[in-house]
Amino acid sequence: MSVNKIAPVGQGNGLHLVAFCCANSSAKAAELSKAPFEVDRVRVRLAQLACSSKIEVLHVLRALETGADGVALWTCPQDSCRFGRGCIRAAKRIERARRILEQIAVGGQRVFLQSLDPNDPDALDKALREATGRLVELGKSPLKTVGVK
Amino acid sequence: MIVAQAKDINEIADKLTNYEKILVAGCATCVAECMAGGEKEVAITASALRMALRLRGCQAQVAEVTADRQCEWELIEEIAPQVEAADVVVSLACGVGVACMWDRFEPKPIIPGVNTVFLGHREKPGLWLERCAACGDCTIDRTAGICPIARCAKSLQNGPCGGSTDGKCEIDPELDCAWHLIIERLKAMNQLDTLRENTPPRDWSTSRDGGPRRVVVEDVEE
Ligand code: SF4
Ligand code: SF4
Repeated sequence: MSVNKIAPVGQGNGLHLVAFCCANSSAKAAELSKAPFEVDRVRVRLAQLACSSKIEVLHVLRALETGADGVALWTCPQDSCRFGRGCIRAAKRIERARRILEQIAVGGQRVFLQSLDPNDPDALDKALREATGRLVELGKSPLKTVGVK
Repeated sequence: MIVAQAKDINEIADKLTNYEKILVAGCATCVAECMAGGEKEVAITASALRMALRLRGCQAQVAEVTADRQCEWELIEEIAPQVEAADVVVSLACGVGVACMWDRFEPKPIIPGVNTVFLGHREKPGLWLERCAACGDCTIDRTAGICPIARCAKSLQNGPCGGSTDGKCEIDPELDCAWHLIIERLKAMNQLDTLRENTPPRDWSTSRDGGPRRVVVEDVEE
């Protein structure tokens, strides 16, 4: 799959992925963050971050609270992080978000964290496919399937 | 400062299942500094509670507010409209703030959203350490600024217990032995001899043993 095979938003399969990508990890992130799109019928909304460490626990929680089924964060590998420890800080925030999601039974496994190989021009495409594939396996967020009293 | 720590979201959510209007109230002072109860933590707690409650089948509204301090009547008053509009409040302030909120808004239930743990300081990003036990009779100069009441696991007053190894406490190999630190500091100051003077047993009535304490400053008391 390459970027030009990513589909515009269509009927979809009801699954939503909110993805955050460090602007330094992928040149394609800028283009893909302009509008939502679909990968494997999963609707994806991608946002660029100036550095992956700009991710906040709240970004992850709010995405899931407001309708996402999964959240992904793509960082630079540790040895090529422009801000030195950005991806380490990002990983710690993701860990905390996962802990909270585990506590409340939404599931920490719905948060994907991966570093992108800066030498692979298709790294973002591959990460997208992996995350959407994983989300298809996990299915809808329990928040969407629960009945309300 | 007062140092607090987030509670497990489920412990809070379990107490909220019968309410419709919930307010998560933060405090922008001590607990914001230790990243347990400021505006950011309020937003995180509120979001997590909305999800936890939805998964319990509850359709509650969870609002957010942060007071500058929850231990000052004037500043509590600034959030009164939001508190009045809620059925229950989850306070992310320390126990002092929670107690003051109860006094002001009784009979509205105010549920603690954090655990108040100690008086301490930020050693480095992400790490807070206990430094004072508020004993009511400060003698920290005797031990070169390292308080053995707060930092010795046994609160020993006249030297180490003998159980420490390589400067670490016998209760936890990660924990510095306070008496090791005191001795090293006094040695460096060439004042180790000061420890020859016996510290008499403390009068704990100035501490918790004397019951709830009060401080009166007469010239400003009204
Ligand atoms: S309520 Fe507690 S945390 Fe808030 S300012 Fe007062 S002492 Fe500090
Ligand atoms: S001697 Fe008492 S007041 Fe002084 S630092 Fe220790 S516990 Fe706090």
